Amino acid sequence: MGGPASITVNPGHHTSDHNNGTIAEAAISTAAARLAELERKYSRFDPYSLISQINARAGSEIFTPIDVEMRSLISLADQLWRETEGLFDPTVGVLNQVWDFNAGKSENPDRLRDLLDKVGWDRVECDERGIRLPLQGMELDLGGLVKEFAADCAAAILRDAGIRSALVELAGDIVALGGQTSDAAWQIGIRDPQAPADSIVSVQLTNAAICSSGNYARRFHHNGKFVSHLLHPQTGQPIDGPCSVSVIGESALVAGTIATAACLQDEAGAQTWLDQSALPWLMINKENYCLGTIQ
Amino acid sequence: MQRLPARSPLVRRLSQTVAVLPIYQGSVLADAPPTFTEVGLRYTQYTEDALSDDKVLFGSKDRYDINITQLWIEAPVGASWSVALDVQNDYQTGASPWFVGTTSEGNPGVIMSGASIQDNRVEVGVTTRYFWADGNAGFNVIHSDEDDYEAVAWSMDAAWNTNRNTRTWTASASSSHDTVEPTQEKIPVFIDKEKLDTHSLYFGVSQILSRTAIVKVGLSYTYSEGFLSDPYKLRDARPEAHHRYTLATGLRQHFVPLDGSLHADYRYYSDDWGSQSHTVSLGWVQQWDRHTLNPYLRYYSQGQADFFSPVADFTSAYYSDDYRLSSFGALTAGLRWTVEVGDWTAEAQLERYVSDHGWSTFAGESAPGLVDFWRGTIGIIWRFD
Repeated sequence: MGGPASITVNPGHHTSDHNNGTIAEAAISTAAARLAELERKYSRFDPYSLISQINARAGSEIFTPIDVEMRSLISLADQLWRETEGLFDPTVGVLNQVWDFNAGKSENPDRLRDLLDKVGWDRVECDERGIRLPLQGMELDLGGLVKEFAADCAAAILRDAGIRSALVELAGDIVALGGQTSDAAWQIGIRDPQAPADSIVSVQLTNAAICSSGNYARRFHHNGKFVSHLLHPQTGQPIDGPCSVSVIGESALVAGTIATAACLQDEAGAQTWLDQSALPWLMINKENYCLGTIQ
Repeated sequence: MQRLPARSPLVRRLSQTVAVLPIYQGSVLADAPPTFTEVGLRYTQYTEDALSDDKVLFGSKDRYDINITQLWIEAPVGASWSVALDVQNDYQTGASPWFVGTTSEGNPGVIMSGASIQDNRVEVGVTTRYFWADGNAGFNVIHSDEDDYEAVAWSMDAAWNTNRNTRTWTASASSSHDTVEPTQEKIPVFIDKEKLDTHSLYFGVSQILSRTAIVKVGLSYTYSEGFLSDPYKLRDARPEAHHRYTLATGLRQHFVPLDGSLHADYRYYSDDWGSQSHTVSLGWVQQWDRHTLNPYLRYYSQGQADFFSPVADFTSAYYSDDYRLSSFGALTAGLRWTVEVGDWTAEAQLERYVSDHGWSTFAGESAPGLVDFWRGTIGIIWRFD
């Protein structure tokens, strides 16, 4: 997941047990341990992770067994691939090898064509034996899902401990448990792409998640346009999508995947997709203009 | 405060893929009051079929028409409370069976009360609810007033979640205190003022079985004491106490490829007046874009009360010829439709109820006054921050 993580528990607004502080600390420790466990399991940078094992076996006949949790995330990835007509593709990461984002060009167009053959979620085999990438060099990356899932897991641990007021934040994905106090919601700022240290909009959140997906920190000039580092899985070219998208939902996983999938489309397509979700959303386009339904 | 709308078809499809994971069963988040204010207005027209010529000995064949108007508002208060106000007005006109007599051939027939009854009932209810991490509890007070009947009722309920929010326990208690003062119109009544107290308890549990299935079971007990007879029915004399028991079960099974759900319910009822009933309901809830269609079918079978007799019986301490205490079966078919457009939800429902003595699974005598009716409802709901 590789980003900053923070858990805030509001003292005095959790379980009725007199030993509130101890319970909160124990819950935070359990949540932190769960986040570390998910990092070890799903990180593509950890050579011992389950994802790395699957990637290392790419091209072989070996299926890597997966548990119910990963099977569910794979199922969600598959549904997103279908819903976005292939734009959301967890195998696209291999294309990053040939793009120099600073220079704004692919280092080797011939290699890009070769690598495109290794991209394609429809080629991934997943059945009761587990999962298998059929071509050597294919890579699976569930990074577009796992951070949001991890935020939900941490929030569920806090809730199960009786905590009623907490904020879980994993690099832009936020789950609010209850309000900040019994009378006030959490105030969440949505980052200004032009000045990432500042907020462009502030929203009130109680018992909901807000997830932002954006490329303002990793955009570059390509063919005269300021484009995203996200790559189109069929062409390998950068996507000319919105600057940032924030979505509010009942879980970080759904809100986050809706936001991520929006960023894979052009602005008109993103708007249609977000309207289809019917969730509150805010899109900041390349001109730093805000539009959406978040109030 | 940002309001979360009902799940769109896209969000439902995505959510279904991970619903097997424990953290997404029930809710990831704590119980919470609504994050928006809801205002609703609903109008219902209830119309009973006229009785056929062969079932009426005297009086109007037309029966009740009731116009029901409901207005409600529910709003969050702080982060842990909600409050709701419900107001309902019923305007009732028409006639009902006064008593059952016999023709010269010995066949039972109804003598109607005459098409003179007009009544208006106004009910006001206030509910406040507190939410905590694993549940919620509510307290409700209702006052109902009409020309000849006044009722004051209260209820308390609580629901709490266990097993990672996959199991929800529900308990409630309620009590009502009614006063009946019949009005003297075209039919004579023989009481001035009577009291009726009713107390009820309910306990139930629902369990998420899988990402697509939920079962529930509930038990209730109701005790009434006081004037339980119908003052507008001649010689109607019922016991002064009534113990009632119900067992209700239900299954909700969602079918992901169809984006629809099967609702199946069964209810068993028994009381100390000797009556029993079975109710079986089947419904299908189909999501389609922003529309929800809910066709349903319900079968009801009732056995008669010990003191029911289709014609006057002067030998028993208790007696009633009220068709509602006879043996009969009934079928209800209905269709409910809702559509969401932005902050607005529109709804419409049409229901047909038909009853027949021969459809009962219980033995017993038939009553000539069994009712058939149509019920139509339209409504609109507005939600805003």
